[in-house]
Amino acid sequence: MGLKDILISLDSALDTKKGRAAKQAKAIDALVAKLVIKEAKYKAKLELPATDRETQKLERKIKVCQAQILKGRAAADELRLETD
Amino acid sequence: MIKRIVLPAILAVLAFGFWISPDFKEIAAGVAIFLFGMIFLEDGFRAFTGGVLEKLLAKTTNKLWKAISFGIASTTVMQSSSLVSVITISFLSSGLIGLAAGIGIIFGANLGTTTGAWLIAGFGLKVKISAYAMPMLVFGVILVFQKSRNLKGIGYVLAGLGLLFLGIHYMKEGFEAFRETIDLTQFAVGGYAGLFLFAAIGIAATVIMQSSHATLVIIITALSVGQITYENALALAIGANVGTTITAIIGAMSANHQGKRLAGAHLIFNLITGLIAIAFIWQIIWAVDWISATVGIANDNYTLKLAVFHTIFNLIGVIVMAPFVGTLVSFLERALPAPAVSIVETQFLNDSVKDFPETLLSAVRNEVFHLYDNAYRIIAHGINVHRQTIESDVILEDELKSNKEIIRENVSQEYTRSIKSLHSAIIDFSGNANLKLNADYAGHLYDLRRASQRIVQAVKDVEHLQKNIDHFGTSKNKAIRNEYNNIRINVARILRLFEQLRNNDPDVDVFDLDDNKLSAKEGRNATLRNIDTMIRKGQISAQMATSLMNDLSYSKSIINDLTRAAKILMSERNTDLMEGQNIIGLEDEDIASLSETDAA
Repeated sequence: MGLKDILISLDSALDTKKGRAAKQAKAIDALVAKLVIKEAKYKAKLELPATDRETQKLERKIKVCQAQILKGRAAADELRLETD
Repeated sequence: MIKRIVLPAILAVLAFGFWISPDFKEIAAGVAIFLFGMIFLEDGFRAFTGGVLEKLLAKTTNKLWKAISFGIASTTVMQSSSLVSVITISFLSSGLIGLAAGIGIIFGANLGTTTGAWLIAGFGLKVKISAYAMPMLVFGVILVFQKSRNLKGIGYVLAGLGLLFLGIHYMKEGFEAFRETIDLTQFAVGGYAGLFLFAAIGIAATVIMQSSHATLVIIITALSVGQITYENALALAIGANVGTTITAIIGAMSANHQGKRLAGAHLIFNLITGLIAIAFIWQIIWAVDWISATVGIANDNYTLKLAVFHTIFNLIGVIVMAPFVGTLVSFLERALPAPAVSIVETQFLNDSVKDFPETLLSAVRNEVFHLYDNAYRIIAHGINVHRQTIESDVILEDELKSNKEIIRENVSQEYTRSIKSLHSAIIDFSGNANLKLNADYAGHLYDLRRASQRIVQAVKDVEHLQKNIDHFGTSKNKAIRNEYNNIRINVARILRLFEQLRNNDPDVDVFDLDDNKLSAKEGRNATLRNIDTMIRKGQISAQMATSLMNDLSYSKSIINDLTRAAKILMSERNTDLMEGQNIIGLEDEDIASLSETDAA
């Protein structure tokens, strides 16, 4: 564990502004990772034969997932800038 | 009437005692300081834990042995089985843990409280503890005046411990001086009569002081200076164990039926344990002597032997009673039946959950779910859909388009009966509680109030929607009937998603609420784009179009309100994850821009 990691852990433990940002960024990363899996699942389903209604539904779900992932990544990056 | 007599009588007896004996005054002052220390200690732990204790409690009580271990550990650390009992009652009342887990904690707390006897007998009487008390008091008081909640809590704990030690010191001094003037051993009573008499005195002393610890300290200090006999001290300790249940009983008075059941379990456990101890007193004394000899406790060290006795008889109680926890739960459920569930009265909001932030949030959350249950029925019936349909796997589009049944639900009347008063109670309760919470908890509570408000608003909007749903949803005009069926389908979808999330359906998560919102918005936009064409083709009249536009707006509000409420109620309890979900979740403008992309 490097000095920076130790300092981040200490910041988190003391719940300072930086530590809080680091914890939040980590939480967002975890949620984004789940959304990426979800998106891949929908994309795989889209490859299978389906009715127009089902295809439309899956395409919409993928679109929503992608928007959420983008928002999450942007927010996590911004939070990480605060910790640097 | 009794209260009016008892308090002046106690004060008069004490005043008389102080007048005739300065030693008695010292002992009484010691007890008072000790009890004051207990109050400080409890306040300190309440402030210091700030929810940590409750979080731990919720996580570690899924098995009986874990619940018992938690009871032992928390009572050992806090030195107050009363505080652990009261927290457990509040947990039960708020619905965070079950009765069996609560009983396990109480069993453990009974064992944990025996560590107090060890501390007093092994450490308190041998060391000049007043030397430790003074610095603790000084450091404690300095910390109490700090702004930080944690430092303040530590200050209360330190000051509490300092006062406990100081109280023990005064009691010890008082009894030592007392010995020179009066010999209490002359009142010693032998045999079973003595056992029952002194057990009754132990019960009375603990009920008055509401602390078995205080009684135990008096017993041990009196025993250490030879003011009572060893056998009578054992009986007093048994009585103190039974008397301590009074705190739980008082705590349960403001709790719901579950809290009362737990207090009942506590009383039954301590009574049975006490009876076992009295019935097998000679065998237990033999066991105490044997254990004491084995671990090297001197034969005449009666104070430590009392600690051994206290531990043994509580351990026997736990061993005897643990296999019957299930039977005890069934008995208590029969003896103290749950009141009939009222849809119009609050189920979880009561005074016993107010003191601890986690239980308070859990109780308010459960009450908002209770409100939602009522709202769910009204909204579903308001759009002529049965809840079974929503909770089934049927395709809503197919089912709702073919079903023309009208469910006669008086939404306005139901709103007044089962929504308005519950919502008012939630607002009133959380408004009063909010003053005591730190910013994080106050924020969570504020969100729950908003969820409640959104649910209420959704019911109000259904009231506006219902008349036209009944009218146009069964119309012979296919075009308008289809449009109103689409409104029903979209509202039914959010109700279904809400239920799936609530039941932890693995196929959905809170992010699906955004997808549902987008789907509803796209449907609404398609209808709005099509309205002019329908009027031009003569499929619907201008009046129908106006109604449809108004009702699309109501359906949008219902979906948005229920989506917001679901996000609050179903979000993660972990603050960081919850905030993450809020950040990632799509706002109205995000949904609008996704919808525009699609239309383009």
